[in-house]
Amino acid sequence: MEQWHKTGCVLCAQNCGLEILVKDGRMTKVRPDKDNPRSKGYACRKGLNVIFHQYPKDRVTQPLKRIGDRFEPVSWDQAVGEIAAKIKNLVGTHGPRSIAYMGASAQGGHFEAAFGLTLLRALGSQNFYSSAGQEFSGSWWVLGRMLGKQYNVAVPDEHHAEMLVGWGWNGMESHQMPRAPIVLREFSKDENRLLVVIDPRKSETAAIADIHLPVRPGADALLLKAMIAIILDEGWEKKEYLSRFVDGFEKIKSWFEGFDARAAIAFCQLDYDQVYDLCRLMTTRRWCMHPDLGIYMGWRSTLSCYLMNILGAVCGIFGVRGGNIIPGMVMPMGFHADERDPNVWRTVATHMPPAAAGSFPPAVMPEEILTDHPERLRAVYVSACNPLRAYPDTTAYEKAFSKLDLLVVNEIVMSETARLAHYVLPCRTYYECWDGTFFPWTYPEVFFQMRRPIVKPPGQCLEAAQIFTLIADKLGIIPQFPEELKNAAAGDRMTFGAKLMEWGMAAPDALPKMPFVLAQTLGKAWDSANLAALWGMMMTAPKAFRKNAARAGFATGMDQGDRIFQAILDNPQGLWVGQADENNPMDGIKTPSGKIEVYIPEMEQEAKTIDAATEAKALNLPDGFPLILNAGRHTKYNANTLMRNPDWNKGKRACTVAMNPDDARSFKLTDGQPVRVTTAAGSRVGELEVSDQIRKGTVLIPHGFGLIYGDETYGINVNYLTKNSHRDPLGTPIHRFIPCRVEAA
Amino acid sequence: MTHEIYKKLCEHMGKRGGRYPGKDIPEFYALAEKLFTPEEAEVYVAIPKGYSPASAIAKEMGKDESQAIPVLETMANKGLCTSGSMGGIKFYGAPLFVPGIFEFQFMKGTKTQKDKELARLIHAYKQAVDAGQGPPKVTYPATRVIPIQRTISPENTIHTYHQVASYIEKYDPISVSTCFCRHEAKLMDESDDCGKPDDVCMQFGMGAQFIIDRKLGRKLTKDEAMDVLIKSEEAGLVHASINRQDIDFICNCCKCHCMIIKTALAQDKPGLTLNSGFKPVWNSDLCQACETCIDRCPAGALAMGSASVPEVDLNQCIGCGVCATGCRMPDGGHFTCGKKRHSTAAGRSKSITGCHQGEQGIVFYLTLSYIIIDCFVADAPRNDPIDRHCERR
Repeated sequence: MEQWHKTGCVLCAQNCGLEILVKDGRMTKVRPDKDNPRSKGYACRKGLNVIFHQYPKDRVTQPLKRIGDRFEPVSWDQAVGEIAAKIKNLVGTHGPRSIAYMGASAQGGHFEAAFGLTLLRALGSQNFYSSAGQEFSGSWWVLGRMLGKQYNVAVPDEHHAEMLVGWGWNGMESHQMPRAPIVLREFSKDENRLLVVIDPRKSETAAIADIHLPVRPGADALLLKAMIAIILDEGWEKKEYLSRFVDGFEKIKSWFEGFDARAAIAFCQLDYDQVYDLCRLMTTRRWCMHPDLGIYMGWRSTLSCYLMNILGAVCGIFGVRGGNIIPGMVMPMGFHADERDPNVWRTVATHMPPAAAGSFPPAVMPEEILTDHPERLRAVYVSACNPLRAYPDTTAYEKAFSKLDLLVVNEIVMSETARLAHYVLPCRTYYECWDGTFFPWTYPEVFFQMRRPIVKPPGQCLEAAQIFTLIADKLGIIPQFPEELKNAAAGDRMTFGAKLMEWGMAAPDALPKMPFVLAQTLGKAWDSANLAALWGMMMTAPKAFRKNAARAGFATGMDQGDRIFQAILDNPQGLWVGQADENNPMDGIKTPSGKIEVYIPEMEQEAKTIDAATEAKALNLPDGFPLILNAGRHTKYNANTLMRNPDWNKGKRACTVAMNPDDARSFKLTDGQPVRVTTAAGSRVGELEVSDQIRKGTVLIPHGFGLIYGDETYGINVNYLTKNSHRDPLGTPIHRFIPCRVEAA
Repeated sequence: MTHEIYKKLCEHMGKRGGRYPGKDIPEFYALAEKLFTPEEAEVYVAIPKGYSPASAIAKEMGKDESQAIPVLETMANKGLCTSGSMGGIKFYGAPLFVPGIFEFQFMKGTKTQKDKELARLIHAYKQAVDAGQGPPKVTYPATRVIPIQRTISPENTIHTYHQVASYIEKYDPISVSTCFCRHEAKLMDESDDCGKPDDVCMQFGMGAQFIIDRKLGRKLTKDEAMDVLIKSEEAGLVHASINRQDIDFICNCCKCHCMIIKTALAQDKPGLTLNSGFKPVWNSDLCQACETCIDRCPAGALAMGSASVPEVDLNQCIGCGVCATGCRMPDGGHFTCGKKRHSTAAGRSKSITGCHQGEQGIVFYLTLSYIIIDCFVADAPRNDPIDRHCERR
């Protein structure tokens, strides 16, 4: 008995379409799915090896409770009852600020987030931490100010671009764009299009670029300022665009006047003429930009993001075909949380705003737990992520988590975080349940795929959404609903919808808890809270989504949502559920002025003052740390912490400490030898790789290793080397610029 | 007296040669005494080269045919001699140690105490011989790799010489038996298991009949034989056979246990020793750099190139096509025949030669969506051993 199933990859945010062969109830083979309209038959070695993710050792199959230093299986009833009682007690005694939810960070499924957030809000807390806060706090905060909403991520419209500028982005290895290696190679080969890469090192992407600017590590903000200054000085800015679509340009113009761009570019260790030529190209070509962690996790993360967007505005690329456009969305990747609104919380010890569309940066969580503030964090609910490997400063996390009154972890496996939990609750994998993601990567089409269960979950595993529903129920959060609603769930969906609406109108308080109501009605009938939530989302989708859907062929009407839902079920390979209005690419901008607002007063001082002299001082390496560690090299051999079995990299040099040959020579180190890397956070030993791809003066270590697998641990957990306090003012860790030293071990 | 006959056996096998001929060392006698009774050893020595009827063998021994037949029959069942019938007459032959007697011992796939003991003795003997003479220097390829069957579509103009699938059509009967290389390893150490399928050793024609008659393996229908080939390809096994147009076996070899592949890979440049005459070429527009082909390559000939497309080391590549069959891209496993064209040898090293009888100057260009299997340069220098072989044939 074997069958090929259409599904998708769950290991990165591209979610490439996959077909998986299930034989006798077990996944046995994987191939790319050419019917997926977004990935079109592309998949990388991660997805093709996803079976390693599906069947790890140490799978959790029943609720576990920590007793002393070991775990004991308990019933769902006991686990949920005890967790609910503890949450109730903590919130009652210390208030809702004592509780945090850390989730919504998975690359394979976003439905867990709807339930985790609903539960958190029902408890009266805003303490939401996610990977968005880990990477995009600065970027999304800037977008919130400039484009109106923190989730308004303007994506590159690369298919219409003449030039693609990747900044701090190694798409050949890390993707972050549908079919990235194929698109990048097309740019590289096409004589009429240009691939520009700005990256300190000769990465796999830089190697195929038409133009590579090997900027000095940490000097991105300075280079951006210099480029804007050159453009304005030459009068190359898009004047008509600025006057029509940009607000506040006059206020910022003077920041760049009289700026010594030559000195700045010399400090960046770049050739002035090359930068000058690129500035000309940027003001004469149709181009789009693709920043990545080199910017987000680089020195002056927020300022770099800000200046990059000013550069884009000056060149007139936002809301223009071939430029960067706010895409249509099924669901936004968060919500706008403007810290100037007094109702929006800040963290109590670090005073951090939830700048990443409502999410706080995980880098500050250890301090929020370890502080003696009366409203400190006392309980953390971690769902479908692994902060002990994914977030900075594992040592700080270990210490902080050991101080918690309650740590609950939803997991498929005994992860490093689960090992510290009071309760580990067993989840279904993404191939054992319905789930999907809302990453918006395409314009004008809007993509969605709901992956279906293709294998049975073992033991007592549930969807994280179902687990949250059990806890919410025990906490008495879910409103009482009539029995007939439950009965109607087994029948026709539209009839159920009518009954739900009828009840909802009479009980408006129930609305914010609707995911739980759906989970207990449709979700019971379908054994999937996720699928029930999807139906609810489609039925109550906002107007913008409905209009996009209408353009994609789903006629408007009462049952539009249900028809989209049915189409999603009928198209397991994924489909275009919407089509943005191509006639109005500025549509997504939601600022008060309706324009791109380039003046951010909080950034004025930093943007004005930064120059070659400030950076020479700021980037000076401390004594004893002559090298710069890039903690988180993207490679074909890492996939966050989702691939635990090291066999998927058998025969590969998957986790190394990579260094330039000149540095290796001067430190008298040779390829393959064990070396000790030391930073302010700690010290770890790994295998040295000597490579021309690495810039002199820098050291690269990939993330996602140091995972405990059975009795072995493969590779370095790089977060033993990252300090949680080494971060941008908005909380993004500066993983791309960590002073370090490397010695023979 | 007992020892005398084994001494004689040793000398006889020594003269016959092969990878593991008779050697006057203790390991030989330990093994020979386990394999042959003194009477069988005497019969073996008496079997003339080639195939002979029992009467001729008996005559050689100065005995009566009726005395020789029961011994020969027992020996054939034990895999110490071969037999076959033609025109109603039974013929017997004396196989070498390798290929021959060693392989026959483990084809049944049984795991008796005697099997384990034999595995140990054979292994000890091979080790002792290798230690004495060193790993064989291959100057003339006795075996060759056959590219996987899907690399060549039925309507193409390539000589059937390379068509594994065509052998299935051509020969009757066909048999399959246990891979003696992997089985031998498991008899020595249960945990020495690479996980590749065992029942994939194929024999054709007379050889197959012998295997079937003596219950060393089982008969296959044509469909079953195709299934064995497909199963082998999926597992990434290399089809290898004798280097001549008519074949009597196809080994489906892994790199970790199989003598043919291991011997080739132990050479400095295995690509010159054992190859199919084909090489992989990637379509860089379509290759997704998933590295499946790199992982599958039994020869370790592939590495990721700087442009994120795999590159092949032709000194290492044996042209087996395991890379191509493993390609996981849509339709990646299906080869379609491309055009036939004249070779200009442009951009290829002249030291890389393949062997294509009567096809000098022509490159066969077989394409699939992602990987192109392309013939090695055929206009090779005439003094090349591989080329000499071509001339001879």
